[in-house]
Amino acid sequence: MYVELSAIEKVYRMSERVEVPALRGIDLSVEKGEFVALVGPSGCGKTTLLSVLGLLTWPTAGTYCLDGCDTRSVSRREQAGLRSELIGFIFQSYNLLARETAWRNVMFPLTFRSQTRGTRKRTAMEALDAVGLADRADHYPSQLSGGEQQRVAVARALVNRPRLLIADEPTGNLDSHTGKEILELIIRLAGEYGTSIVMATHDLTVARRAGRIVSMADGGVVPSEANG
Amino acid sequence: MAVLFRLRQTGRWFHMDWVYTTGALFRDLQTSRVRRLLSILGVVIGTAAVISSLAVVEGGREQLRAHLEKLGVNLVVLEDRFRPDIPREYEDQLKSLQTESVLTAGQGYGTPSEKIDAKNRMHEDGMLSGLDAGSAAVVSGVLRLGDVKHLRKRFLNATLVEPITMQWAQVGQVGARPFGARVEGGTPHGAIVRDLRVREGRYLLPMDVDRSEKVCVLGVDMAKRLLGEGHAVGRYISMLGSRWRVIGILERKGTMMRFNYDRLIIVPITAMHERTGVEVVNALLFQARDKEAASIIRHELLGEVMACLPGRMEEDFSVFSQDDLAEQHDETLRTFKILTICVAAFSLLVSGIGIMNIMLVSVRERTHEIGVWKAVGATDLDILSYFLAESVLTCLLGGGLGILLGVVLAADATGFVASSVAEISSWKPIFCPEFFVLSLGSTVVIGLLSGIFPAIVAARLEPTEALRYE
Ligand SMILES: Nc1ncnc2c1ncn2[C@@H]1O[C@H](COP(=O)(O)OP(=O)(O)OP(=O)(O)O)[C@@H](O)[C@H]1O
Ligand SMILES: [Mg+2]
Repeated sequence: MYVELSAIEKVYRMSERVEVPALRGIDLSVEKGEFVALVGPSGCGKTTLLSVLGLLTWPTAGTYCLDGCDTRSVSRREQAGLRSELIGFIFQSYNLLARETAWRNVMFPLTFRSQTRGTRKRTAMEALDAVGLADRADHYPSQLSGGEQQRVAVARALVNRPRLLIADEPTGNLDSHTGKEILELIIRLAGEYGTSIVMATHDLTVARRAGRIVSMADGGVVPSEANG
Repeated sequence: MAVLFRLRQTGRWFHMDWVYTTGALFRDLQTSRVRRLLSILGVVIGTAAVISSLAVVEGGREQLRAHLEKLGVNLVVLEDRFRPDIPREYEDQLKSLQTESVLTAGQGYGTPSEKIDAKNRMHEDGMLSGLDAGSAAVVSGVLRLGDVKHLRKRFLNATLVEPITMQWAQVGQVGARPFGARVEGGTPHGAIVRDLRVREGRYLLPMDVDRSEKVCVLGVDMAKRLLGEGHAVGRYISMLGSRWRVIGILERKGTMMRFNYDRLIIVPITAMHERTGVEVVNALLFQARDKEAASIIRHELLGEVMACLPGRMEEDFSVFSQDDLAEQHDETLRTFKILTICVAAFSLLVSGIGIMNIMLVSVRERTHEIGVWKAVGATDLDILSYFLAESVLTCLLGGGLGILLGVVLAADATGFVASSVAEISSWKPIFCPEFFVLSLGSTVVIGLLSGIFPAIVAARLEPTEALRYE
């Protein structure tokens, strides 16, 4: 089991009195190379769950084992290292660095790894080539279409060959055709690298491409008949 | 597990590559330019103040060193500020003499006093030993020439002890309007004690003093004022009811010990006493054998003089040496330095608050980016050091501009300060490398202090929080 969540809870404390429970006891495991789709109504806690998986936030209760180690024992600095080495992110709104060119955006995660600069640049250009944007390397995000920006984001997420790809509605801002292209790209590259995918989506056609669909409602996982 | 194990093994605190980041840093420094420049204004002013004041003070020290060397070596001066009541009859006589001299300045009043006063012959004891008051009135309670002889015996560690009498007199020249000038009655060795050099003609000789000769030595400016540009030696000026032959012109010397030698008229002390009618010594110049002797004399002199003059008050006398002068100037310079450094510290402090503000703005504007950075692997320390570097660089920019301004200001400031430090006309600022290191160092400190809080705010952001921020 590569990723294992058990009894994960996340409560947002707005003030002394007001607490918003976003996750209420989530149990979830993801195998190596597995593609899991998270579906559920808006506000059910998909993004929150992905944040926990990506070590971008800390659960209020429960245990999260990543790559065989309990993340509660991992310091903030080591969490940053784990994000850098094991996890890739794709967001609905691309989240590219607006003031950097495409290839520098792709290279950015590599700057946190100890590699020579030449290797970094070569790796970044290869990743950009893999998403079919080698000719747009020197363009800024504002000079690219939404679909192209998301391709750059895919290249950036996978440039480190992560074990776990976290994608939060990656096709949400795109038309269905472009969305499908991006999805196939992600599936192809992740398959090549043996990367597990956890993807939140509202689009059932996207979800159907996944190996497993996990339905969520009101901060919990809905037991599905299909998966027993 | 393997990855985490490796992370723990290597344990790098910084994950960021600074070469890549520096590019981003310089680009970020160009954001909100106007506000950034305004916020570093205080740093610019503070640094300029530090640099210029240090350079001015250093220049002043150097100038003072040169000045004191010019003054003469191991000099101790005793000054009697008390002006005795001149008996009424003498006062009247003095007035009439002076008035007369002014009125008759152009008409060749009097003859050059060439008479040899038998009373004033040189004596084996030294050139003053044979002197007495002559026709001058004896006023009690003041230093007289006899006391000089006594002090000379008492202070054998002084190579020279020379008396001076000062008198304000109307001075005139043929055909010119008379004006007030300070006239000094002195001795030949008075030149050696103060390192006065003659540019033209000669200084006083022992025989001038012995015979109460009506001769005078002029400072350069005085000579020019009295006699114009041409040859002055051998010509006559008129003062104190008599005609005086100019025997020498001093080299330019400037202001020393509070008076300007270039505007001085020096006559034999005996001639002065004779003309004013009062035998009084206003000041004594001691040339000590060495530095140590100077300090001994400086401390024992007053007691000795008080013993000579019972009934006089110590407050009337002032004794000072070169060291005192140096100290006094150092004091002035130090005060100036402390003052400007206070101003500098204050403006640095105020600008620190401004820089903290701009850094908080910078962190807020880049919150979303910080989220992205953290998502791809930036540690808290990476973010912290990035924003600290930004604030330090912002401050250093201010420091650099401040140094430029300070170098320009220093030249003007010396003029300003010089006018408040007596006797030293003006000097060049001196810049030592330490000053630049010091001022840039304090700039860096301000950058760190004002940047640390915003940087911590940025570093502690939870990645999700930062990513949600738009
Ligand atoms: N920072 C926060 N502070 C307070 N409440 C939050 C915060 N983030 C999320 N929530 C709450 O947690 C719950 C889950 O939110 P989450 O964003 O995970 O939903 P989601 O399933 O991703 O929704 P969507 O499909 O619209 O993206 C919501 O009720 C939301 O209001
Ligand atoms: Mg969401």
